[in-house]
Amino acid sequence: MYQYSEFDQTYVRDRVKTFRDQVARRIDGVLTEDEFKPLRLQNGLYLQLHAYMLRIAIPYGTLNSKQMRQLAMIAERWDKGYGHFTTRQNIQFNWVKLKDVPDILDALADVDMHAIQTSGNCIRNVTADHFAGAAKDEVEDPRITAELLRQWSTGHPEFVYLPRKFKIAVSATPHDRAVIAFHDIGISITKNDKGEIGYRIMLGGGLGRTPMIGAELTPFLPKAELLPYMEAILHIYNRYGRRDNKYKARVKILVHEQGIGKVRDEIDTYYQSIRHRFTGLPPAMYAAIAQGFAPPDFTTAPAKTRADLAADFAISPRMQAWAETSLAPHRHPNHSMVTISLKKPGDTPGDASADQMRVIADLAETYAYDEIRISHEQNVILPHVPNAHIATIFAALDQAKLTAANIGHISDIIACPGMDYCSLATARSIPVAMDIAKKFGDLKTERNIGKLKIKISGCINACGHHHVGHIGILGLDRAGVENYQITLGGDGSEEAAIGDRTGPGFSAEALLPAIETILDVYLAERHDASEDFLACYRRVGMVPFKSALYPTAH
Amino acid sequence: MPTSDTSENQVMHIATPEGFIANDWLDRPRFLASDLIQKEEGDTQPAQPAVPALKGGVVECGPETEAEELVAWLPHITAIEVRFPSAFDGRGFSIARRLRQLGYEGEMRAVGRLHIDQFRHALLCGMDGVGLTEGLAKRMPEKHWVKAAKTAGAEASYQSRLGVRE
Repeated sequence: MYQYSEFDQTYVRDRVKTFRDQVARRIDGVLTEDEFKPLRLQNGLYLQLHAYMLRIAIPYGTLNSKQMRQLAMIAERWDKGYGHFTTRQNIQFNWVKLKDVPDILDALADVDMHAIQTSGNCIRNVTADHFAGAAKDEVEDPRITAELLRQWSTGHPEFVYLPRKFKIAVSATPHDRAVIAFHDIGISITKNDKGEIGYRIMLGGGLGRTPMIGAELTPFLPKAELLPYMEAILHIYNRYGRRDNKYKARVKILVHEQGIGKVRDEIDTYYQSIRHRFTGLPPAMYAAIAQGFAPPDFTTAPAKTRADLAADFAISPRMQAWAETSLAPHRHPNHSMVTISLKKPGDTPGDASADQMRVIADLAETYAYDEIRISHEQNVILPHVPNAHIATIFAALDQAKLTAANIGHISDIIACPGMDYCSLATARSIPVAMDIAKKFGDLKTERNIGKLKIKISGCINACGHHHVGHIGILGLDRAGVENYQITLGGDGSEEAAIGDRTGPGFSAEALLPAIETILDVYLAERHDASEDFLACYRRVGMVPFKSALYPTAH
Repeated sequence: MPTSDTSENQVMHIATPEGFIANDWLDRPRFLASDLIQKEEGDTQPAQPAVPALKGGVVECGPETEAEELVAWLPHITAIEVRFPSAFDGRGFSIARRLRQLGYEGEMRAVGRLHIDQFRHALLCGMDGVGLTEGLAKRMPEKHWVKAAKTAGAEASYQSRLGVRE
């Protein structure tokens, strides 16, 4: 994986020093809280309901074992022994103290990590496909571009006080796992008909209060043009994005109000006028970044294909059930990708204890080329696992209670922290996720229901991505009482769709029965088990669900 | 009309990389960029610069100034103040950088409530100094600004390494 250059190391250490100095100036009163706020935000520090929360960047979700162990150490030394992996491939610690933060940042710098630009109105941590480097059908490793963008956006003097936060995601396969259509900028790495690699760029997607699917800004941008073009997009957004209302300040609103044609013209005009100012990315710089993502030598693994795993499964049916959901095909026949579920029914989605982090780190280091990924679905991935080690890894994960066999199924829920942690939340979301997982998460029920993505947000800001859940749940506050709206048919993949609301919301008590009704309708309506929930909903539409959910209205 | 500052909001000092200097632009004639580029009704041609009048004057750019429309004036301007309505409004950074890209070579200062930690951004976007009120200059002493500027100057930026020219 990408190793920090000397420049990266110096830069991150300097930023820690600066932040230490800023904390001291805040304490001395040189800085007011108003002035300090954007500074702490740009170092990942939020003031939450109960305490400060520190959000640490995991660029494009990639970690090695040393970094994972350091996160475990931080969890134990400065937090309550666990961390929360987020929908943007980051990790959050919910109970840190302000005075400890500079020390935590130094501990991160020790392992080439940081919390820079994980919040605030700036370009945030760049995310990418969590199967990058291992997926069969990728054009090239999207993390090369994501790392380039990380470097370009870090401390960019023009773009640190944007109208609002700005999120970029990169994908390099036809099947989009990085939800690029719902990012401020979504980049799809693609080939043109001459076989050249370039970028399809989408602008103005987003979730939140006003969910929108990104509009195509350009179908093919040559690779060398990326940075000047990004400069142009951000320059136009910084100048013309709305600043009068923070709920209308994201670039999606600019695109919506002005139209993609006009925004594209503005960007193009500016881009043409600054292109000549770019001396171009030094080839050695690009080569050094690309080298950081060169795949390991897969040829040394013992010859054992997916089909050969049948013998292991014959011994352990539990392992087979786990493998059915947790293993995905790797580009090399003797390997698999292993997804480790952080969604054991009854636990908080996305949480991992320090011990679990260490188990994962050890397995990655011993058996899987020292590579770990965090997915936006809040799970952990070992991207390159020799099939010969699958049984050993299963046994070790099982001991650490990390073998929930639910990836892609009903209890693999994305949920925001909700009212239990977040000061913005209007309803609880983690307990809702736990209830659903407990009710439907037994193996038989879950497998019968099949592939299904449930996503839960505890307020309108949609951190739980409910708009793109096959079933989306939005918790609101109605005169002091929690009320949950349900949407159906959302999809964060390349077939991007925003879910449709079923109708009036449900009380906390009526929510679980409502989900059960929806599942009953699906099971009755589907052709057979091969038609998953989303496909069935697309075919039959809202009507049968609505009539079952609101019988008296008909 | 140029903005008239009450004494409390008056910019008394300019933080430069070398240290504080007294604001020496207070008595100069002032022009709003928006007045310069305003067209008369029915005009089809862009307005032409009244060069002699600009001599020795300070041109104030607001956050909505269309830098591109000032191009014809830029060779005749020697002093620009870019106004930041608040420390969180980063439009001024884009405007400053754009003015430099368009060839402006005179002096340029940021005026608003920018603080030490934004000094680096202002300098890298082409500003020569940041205006301070008496109160802000007291609360954020000169030594902090000089240190911040030194750090900014010493720090190679990611952007310059990647071939982005300021």
